Amino acid sequence: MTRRFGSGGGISDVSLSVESGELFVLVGPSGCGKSTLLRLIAGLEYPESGEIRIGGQSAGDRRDLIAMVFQNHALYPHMSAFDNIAFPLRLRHTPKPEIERKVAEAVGLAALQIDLARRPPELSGGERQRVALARALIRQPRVILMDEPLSSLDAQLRGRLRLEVKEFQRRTGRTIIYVTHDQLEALTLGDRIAVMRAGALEQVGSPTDVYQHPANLFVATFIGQPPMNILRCRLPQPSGPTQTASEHAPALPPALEIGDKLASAMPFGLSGEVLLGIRPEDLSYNSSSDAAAFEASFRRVEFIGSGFLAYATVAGQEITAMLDQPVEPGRTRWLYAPLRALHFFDPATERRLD
Amino acid sequence: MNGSTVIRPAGQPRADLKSPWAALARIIIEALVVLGAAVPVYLLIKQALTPELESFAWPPRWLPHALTLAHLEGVFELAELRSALILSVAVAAVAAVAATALGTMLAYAMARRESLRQAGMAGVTAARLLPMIAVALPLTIVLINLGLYDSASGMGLALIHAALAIPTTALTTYGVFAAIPPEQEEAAFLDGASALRIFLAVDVPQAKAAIAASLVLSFIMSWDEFAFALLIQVTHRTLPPLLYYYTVFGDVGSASALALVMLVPALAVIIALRPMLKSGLVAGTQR
Repeated sequence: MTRRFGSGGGISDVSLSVESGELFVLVGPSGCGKSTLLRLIAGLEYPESGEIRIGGQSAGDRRDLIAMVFQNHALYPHMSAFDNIAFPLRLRHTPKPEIERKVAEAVGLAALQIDLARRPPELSGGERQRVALARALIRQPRVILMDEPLSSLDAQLRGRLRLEVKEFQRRTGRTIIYVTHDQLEALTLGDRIAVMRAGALEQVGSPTDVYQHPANLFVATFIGQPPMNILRCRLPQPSGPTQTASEHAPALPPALEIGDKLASAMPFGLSGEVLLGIRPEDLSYNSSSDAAAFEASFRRVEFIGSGFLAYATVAGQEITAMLDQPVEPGRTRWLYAPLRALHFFDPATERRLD
Repeated sequence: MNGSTVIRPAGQPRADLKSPWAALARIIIEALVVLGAAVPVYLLIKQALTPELESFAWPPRWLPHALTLAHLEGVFELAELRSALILSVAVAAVAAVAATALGTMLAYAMARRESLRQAGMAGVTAARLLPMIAVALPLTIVLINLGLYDSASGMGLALIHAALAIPTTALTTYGVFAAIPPEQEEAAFLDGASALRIFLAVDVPQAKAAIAASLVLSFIMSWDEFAFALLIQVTHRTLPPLLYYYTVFGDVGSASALALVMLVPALAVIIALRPMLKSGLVAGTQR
């Protein structure tokens, strides 16, 4: 499937293709155009230029090919759950026995276990979303579009239904395009994810790819929680003294001086400044031969159950670290990060340097 | 919402309304409201069923002393009653259905199209501000040209009554349509429904209560309308002008008896639409 867009509303020059049978997640902060993109695919809005193709053919009225699940479920409150699910079939004058058979099938696939005579206002949030799933499925669409279907539910239910969406997709084998602003939802759910900002695509790839190799500074800080630390670093002058990362007194804050050892780990020739990215979970007390060292002054430590979230400064710049041992605020300790876990970005273009 | 907002189950009085004084005050207020509505109706019934002299007795008597069916019999003997009753029902029914159908569609358009909202509101308000009797003469000429002036069917009058009631029906239903999330319509669109089908299957059922209220209000507006009825139905009269002649003659008993007869169909419409008024209120709850 190929879908191309010109500038339609909040979207400019977006071009992407979704594989058949894939769970594809569009993620980005609110207002980034992800919902507009979904509505364009649905045909609820029209692109000013460009086109949308489904299954190789240009899709005009594509209502038979797609179905949509909305954030507020958009069920018809005056109809029973059964009538809600059967509505698309009734519009097509499907015979009654066939309606009953298909509704039963969709109800099974959506793992819906309720009295179908009840109406949406009498159902719980999770049950309503399952009814919406069944309604989307009943028409046998090629693509199911989901616009933040779980964001109005509480955290616990959201986690459970996230698993269910994944299983639902495996059972049904449908192509699903899923919009969310929640980076964790994107990482856990997507076969592939597309990170969007300001109406443009920033990166498209598998969750591990996007997490481990963020294409630019925005993706690096948007994906992952707590967000990746970004340190401004000064690269060593060719003739300068050789020092490891933080042995140098922070005489020239706020930039961090980079030692030769670290510089040699960078597979690119640069001079001047570079942005160094380190995920909080990659920092630890464990020293090793292929680790970069940072002298951190701790300011505050929070116990978060699985470990300790520490706030510290390195060469005058603030960082966070996920640590397995607590540390006293006010102390200074060395933190280490494996060289392969370091990310570098160009300060001017904000692009990843490899 | 501020900090003082108290959340409580629907229908349960607030705790501070449970004190005995508050309960007493509530009973008194409720009694006054009921009395205010019931006393005129009681007097009407009393006047219709007692001899003329008793209505003018001084000091006035609250309880009837002698009962008579003479006034009612007189009204029913009136040759014109049957035709006026039928004509009034026909005019009010047609006016109510037309005003509700058109007003509902106007309200829907206003709720869904930003560009129509301002213009629609201005038009509806202007129509209410204008004293309609000021344009009575031009309207009469229009009806003469259409061949609907003083027609036996009363459809000219029904047309005017419908026009008079459209602002009311539009305003009654507007809020409900505005409260229906557009996503429901988008879902129906993607399910394959046409625009008309979306309106009829998704929006109208949720606006049932407001539509029933519109029907009741516009029916009663037409049922009681006097000025245009007097002007246009000169020979084929509806009930209000008929009632007017009794009042002019000063026959209080017969006027009351006719007014009593007029109450019955209006009450019947309200009672007939009651289930719709109730069911619609429940169906309107979203989430």
